[in-house]
Amino acid sequence: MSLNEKILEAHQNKNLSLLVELYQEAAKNVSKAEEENFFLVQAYTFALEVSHSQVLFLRRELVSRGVEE
Amino acid sequence: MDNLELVRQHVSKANGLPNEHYITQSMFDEEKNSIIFNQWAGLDVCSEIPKIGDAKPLNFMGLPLFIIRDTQNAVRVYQNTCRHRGMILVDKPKKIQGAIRCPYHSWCYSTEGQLVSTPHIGGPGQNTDKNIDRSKLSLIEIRSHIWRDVIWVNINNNARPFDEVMASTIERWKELDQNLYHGGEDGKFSLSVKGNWKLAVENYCESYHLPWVHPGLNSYSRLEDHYHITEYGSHSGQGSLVYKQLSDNKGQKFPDFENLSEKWATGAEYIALYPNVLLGVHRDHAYAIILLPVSFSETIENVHIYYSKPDVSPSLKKKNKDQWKEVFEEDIFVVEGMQAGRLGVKFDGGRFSPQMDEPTHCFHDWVAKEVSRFRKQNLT
Ligand code: FES
Ligand SMILES: [Fe+2]
Repeated sequence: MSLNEKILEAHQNKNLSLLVELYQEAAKNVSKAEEENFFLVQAYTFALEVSHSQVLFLRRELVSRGVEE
Repeated sequence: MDNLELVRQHVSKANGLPNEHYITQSMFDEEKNSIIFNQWAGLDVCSEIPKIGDAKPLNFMGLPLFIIRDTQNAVRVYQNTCRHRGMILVDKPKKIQGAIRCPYHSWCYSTEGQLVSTPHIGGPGQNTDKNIDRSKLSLIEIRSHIWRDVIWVNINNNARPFDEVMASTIERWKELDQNLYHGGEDGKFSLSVKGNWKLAVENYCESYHLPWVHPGLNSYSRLEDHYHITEYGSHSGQGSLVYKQLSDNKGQKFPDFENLSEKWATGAEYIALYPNVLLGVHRDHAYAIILLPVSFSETIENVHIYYSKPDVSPSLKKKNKDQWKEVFEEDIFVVEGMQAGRLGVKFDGGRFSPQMDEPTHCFHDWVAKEVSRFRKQNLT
């Protein structure tokens, strides 16, 4: 299954913790900063919702990239 | 004299509230704005959201709200509307693990109401925008107060503090102010009644109907064993001198609340806290009924029963619930019948028994007073 398919399936199953992982993986597969930011924001948002262990890490990452307060 | 002045005369002279208070949308709306949203009204009970993160949406007279137990274990009430494009935030009872994420564009709020993230607001991958100040976009919190497990709300944020408004009942029941343990699934039920919410209040605070509508209660709770509780401008109800504890076939009873005075050995009291909460207290259990007005001719009655200990006998609990359910169901035909009767265009609000109907008149007087006050304020 491609990463894209895995993400769609996780959305379908509302598996939010998995989405946090998959969107981070997606961020690693792109090269442009804006594309990375987009996926990291997706990961961060679901991390906030489920209070994921990586929420602080993701937030710091986004803040350091200048895209989160 | 206008209609409301007729209501506000002495009980021996007064008429009841006129028909339009029961059968028109315009009066339903006026009462909503003048008395329900301006006072401390009952919304739900804390036991409905027992754990941190539990959230439940509610529709309160058309207003979408949700209740939630925040990370500090405090119960809060919010308007259930996202500050972005107004999407409903909580669509069914659920557990909020971290943030409340709006299902539309995923703005995220903490359980304390702060807007914590606004994904992609400044374009893809950019969560900030210089024009958007998150601190000004918190969830709209509704003023609330918890007493006897009931979540009371003052929607218009203009009532005097709860403890002041309810002071005399709080004082009256001080010794009963103890831990209340909700009876769980066998400690609650709902009734849907085709009648105006006020008819349920009226019927609750008088004992005049007991021998006719609740003949079963009559054997141990005769009319002369009841007294009125009437405080004009505030609340009304009734008390009983002959409360008998329920027992099972082994003679087992519910445990008592602690250190009660002699009065409660056989005493019970039932008070309507205007506008919409009906409370009952006894030595060994208590209940709260929250009336949710659905329309001018429809009301939901949510009943919650409480005990002095968390682990009371399940069979006894079931028996107690069934007994109260039977009593409250016996009242349904009266409320529905009075609703139907108010389509009689020549009905003048009716008269009151000066001896027996003071608690009912007390409620009518309060409604008339608050509605007139609202009308005067709107004129000026
Ligand atoms: S409406 Fe809630 S995020 Fe857009
Ligand atoms: Fe009754």
